[in-house]
Amino acid sequence: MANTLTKLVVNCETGEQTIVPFTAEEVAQFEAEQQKNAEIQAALKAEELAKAEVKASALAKLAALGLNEDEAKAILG
Amino acid sequence: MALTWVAIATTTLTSTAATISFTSIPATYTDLYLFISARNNQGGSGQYIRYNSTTSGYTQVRLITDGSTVTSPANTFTTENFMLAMDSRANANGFGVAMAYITDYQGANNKFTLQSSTNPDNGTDYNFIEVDAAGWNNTSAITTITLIPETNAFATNSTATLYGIKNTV
Repeated sequence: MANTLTKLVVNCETGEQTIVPFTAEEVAQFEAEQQKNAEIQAALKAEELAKAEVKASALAKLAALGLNEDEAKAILG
Repeated sequence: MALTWVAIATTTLTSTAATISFTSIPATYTDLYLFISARNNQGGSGQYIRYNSTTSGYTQVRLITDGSTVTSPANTFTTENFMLAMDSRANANGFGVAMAYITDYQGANNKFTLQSSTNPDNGTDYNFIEVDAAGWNNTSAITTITLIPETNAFATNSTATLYGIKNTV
């Protein structure tokens, strides 16, 4: 990352607010965690897309049997 | 008994910040309430909450809707709990709203949180409402709360306020 990462620390006891640059170790940890979370988010999105495709396929098959869209959706929930 | 709400601390970012931490949270309340108005400065539609700098023990049941479809993604965030924030790719100058009610934060029990959040952005892919039941399987008192953006940093003018709640006779 090009920008310097900083953390804002709000001390609830004193009210003091401090902006502190990340250490190299914190940057590495932060980037690793964000990478991991991005992978989780991508997996979740892929899973949701797959479910939506299955649902669309099921709706199409029910429509072929003569059900209208509202009836098909009532079955699938 | 009446509930007393006290604003323990509040902050508004005057520059971007990769994390916002409330530290030295006093143990003088029964519950905590966190109100956040946030925007990522580089992509990403979310933010995470971490307690006491601990990266384990988190559980979350999520319900998300874009107004037409409701989804309940699997609970896979184990390093912290997830809430929505405004995505920087959407709605220039818009900020998402998130709130978390944390029960018995200083008690020697596992901690439970009701979270709700939204990033309203009509007509885009970044327009959701999320409601969560979140847990932290840890019996330590919560003394630090850290907010972490989904990507890079929180944008300038993001705000966060921590309230303490207690019963008063």
